[in-house]
Amino acid sequence: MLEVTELRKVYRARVPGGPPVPAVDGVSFNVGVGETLGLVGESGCGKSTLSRCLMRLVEPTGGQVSFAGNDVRALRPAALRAFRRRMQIVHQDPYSSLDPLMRIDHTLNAPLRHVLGLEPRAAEQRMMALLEEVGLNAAHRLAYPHELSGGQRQRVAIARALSLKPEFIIADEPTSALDVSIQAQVLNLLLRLQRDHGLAMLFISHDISLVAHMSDRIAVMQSGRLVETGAAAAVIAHPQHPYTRSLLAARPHRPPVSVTFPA
Amino acid sequence: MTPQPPVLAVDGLAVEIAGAPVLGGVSLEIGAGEALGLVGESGCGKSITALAILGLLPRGARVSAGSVRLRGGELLGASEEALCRVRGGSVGMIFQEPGACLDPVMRVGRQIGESLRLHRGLRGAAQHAALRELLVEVGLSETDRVARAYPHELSGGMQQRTMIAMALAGEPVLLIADEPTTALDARIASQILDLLDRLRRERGLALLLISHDLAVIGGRCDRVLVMYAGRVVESAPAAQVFDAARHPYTAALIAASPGLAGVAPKSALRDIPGQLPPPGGGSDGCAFAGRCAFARPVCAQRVPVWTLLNAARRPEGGEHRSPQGGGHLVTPDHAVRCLQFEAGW
Repeated sequence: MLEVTELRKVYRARVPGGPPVPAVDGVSFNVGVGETLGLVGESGCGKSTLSRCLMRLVEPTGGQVSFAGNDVRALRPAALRAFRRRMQIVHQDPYSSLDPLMRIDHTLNAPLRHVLGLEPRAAEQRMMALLEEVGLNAAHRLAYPHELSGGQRQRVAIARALSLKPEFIIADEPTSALDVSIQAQVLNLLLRLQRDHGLAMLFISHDISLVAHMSDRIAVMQSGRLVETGAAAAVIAHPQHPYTRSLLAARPHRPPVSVTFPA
Repeated sequence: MTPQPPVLAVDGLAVEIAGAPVLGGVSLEIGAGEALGLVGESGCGKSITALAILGLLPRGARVSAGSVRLRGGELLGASEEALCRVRGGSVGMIFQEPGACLDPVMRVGRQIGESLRLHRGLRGAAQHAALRELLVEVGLSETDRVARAYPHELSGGMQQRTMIAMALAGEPVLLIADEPTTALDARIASQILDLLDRLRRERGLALLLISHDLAVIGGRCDRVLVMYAGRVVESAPAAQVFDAARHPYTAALIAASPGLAGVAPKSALRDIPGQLPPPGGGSDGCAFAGRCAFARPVCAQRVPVWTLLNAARRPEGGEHRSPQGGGHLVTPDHAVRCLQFEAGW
C-alpha cells in the first residue's frame, strides 16, 4: 500500500555557512494493507520528519513515496488533498493538536461537513457514531479540549483522524503524553480500530517495548537511516544491528509477570 | 548494636491545597546507602511529597499534619535559613528537566562552583579542584571543556550529569531524584540510573527515586512504595513488586505496561478502566475502588489500613503507620492497603 524508496530530507544549516542537516537520509520501506510497521528510534533520529514527509507536511528533498500506486511527490494541490483524506496522522500531544478555542463537535464536524460534504444531520449522526467508536459519549461533544483529560483528548484526535475514513494512519508517539493506565486504553483502541477497519499503520515511538507490542514489522532508525528492519518477533528475539541491541539492553530486565484477575 | 536513626524519616505527612487534601498521610524511611522508589501516575502526590520534604510547596499548598526528620532533626517548621542550608546542602535535588533547572546564561562550572562556595566555603584553587573531582565522579571526564560550557552546549544526558554534580557539591546525605530520566532517551536514562546507583553505594547516600514508571524504579531500589491518589497503597521489597504485587492497582499497572505484562503482541492489554481521580477528589473509601476489578460495596465506605502480608504480626499503629520500621528497607516486609486483605472480607 505504501512504498517509500530512498527518501531524503535535508534541512538547511542552522548557522549561515554551516553544513546542511540530513534529517532523513535515504530511507526505504513499505507497509502492506492492514499491516502495522513500527518505527523506533531516539529523539532527533528523524522519525517525525519522516512521518511528515510521507504526508508532504514537509516537502522531501529526494526519493519516492508511492501510495496505492500513486506518486505522492507529484500530486497537485487538489490531488494532494484527496490523498491526505486517505492517510491521516495522530500526533503525540493532544494538548497542542486540538484547537483550544473549538468545541469538540466543531472540531469533528469540520472535516465531515467541508471535506466529505455531508449535510448537517448526516454529519451529526456520523459524529455521534465516531464518538461512540472511540469510547466517548454525547456529553463530550459540547466540551472544549481543556475540559477533557489527556486520554479523552487523544480519543478525540483519533476520532478526527478516523472521520475521513482513511486507509492509513500514522500514529506519532500517540501515548507518550499519557499515564500508563490511560496509555493501555489508547493502545487497545488503536488495535481494535485497525482490526475493524483494516487500517494500515505506521506506529512511531522511542519505546521499543511499545513498538514490539503494536507492530507486525519493526524498522529501527538511527541518525536518519534505517539500520534494521524485520518481523517484530525476529527483531526483538534476534537483533542484528548493535544499535538495536543497545535499545533492547536499555529496557529494564524484568521477567514477564503473571497477574491473576477475577473472572 | 544501637540502630542508626534513618537518614530520612517521614511520618504521616499530609498536604492540603486550598483546603482539599492532596496527600493523605505518607510515611517512609530511608537509611544510609538505601534507595527507596516512589512510583505512581500523574497527580498521585509523589512530587508533592518531595516538595513538602524540602519545604518547597507552591503557594496555596500547606502541610496539615505529619513530620519530616532528617538525621533526627525536624524539617517541618524549620526556619527558612535552616532550610536553605539543607536544600542543596545535606539534601541534593535532581529534577526532570535539567535544561530548565540550569541557569542558561551561566557557565556550568560557575553554577557548580557557587554551590561549593555556599555549602562548603570553597574558593579559588580549592573550589576548582573540588569542581574537577565532582565532574569526574559523575562521568564528565573532559572537565575543562564541560566547566566552560553553557548548558545549551551540552546534551541532555550531560546536563543531567551536571545537575547530579551540583547536587553532590554540598556533600549531601540524601539525594532526592524526581523523574530524573523522563526527559532522556532510554539508553541515556539507563546510564544516569546506573550513575545514581553507583553514587549511593559509594557515598552511602540515602536515595529517594521518584518515577511514574514502575519499570524504571523496580531494578534500582531496595524498596518500592506505590502511590495512588495521595496515599501509599503498597510497600514491598523491589523484587516482590514484580513477582508478587498484591494491591489491585499495582497489579493492574503492571498488566497495563506493554513491556511488563507478558502478553502476546497485538493482543489487547488489560487496561484500567476510567480516569485517575482529580487531585484532592478523594471519596470516603478506597480511592481506587471505582476502577478496581475486585471492588465490593464496602470499598467505597472505608479507607483501608495497612495489612502486613508476610508476617504473623500485624503492623502497630493505625492509619499513618508505615509498615517498615527503623530505616531497614531490606526487610522482607510486604504490606498493602486494600480491604480484601483485612479481616472480614
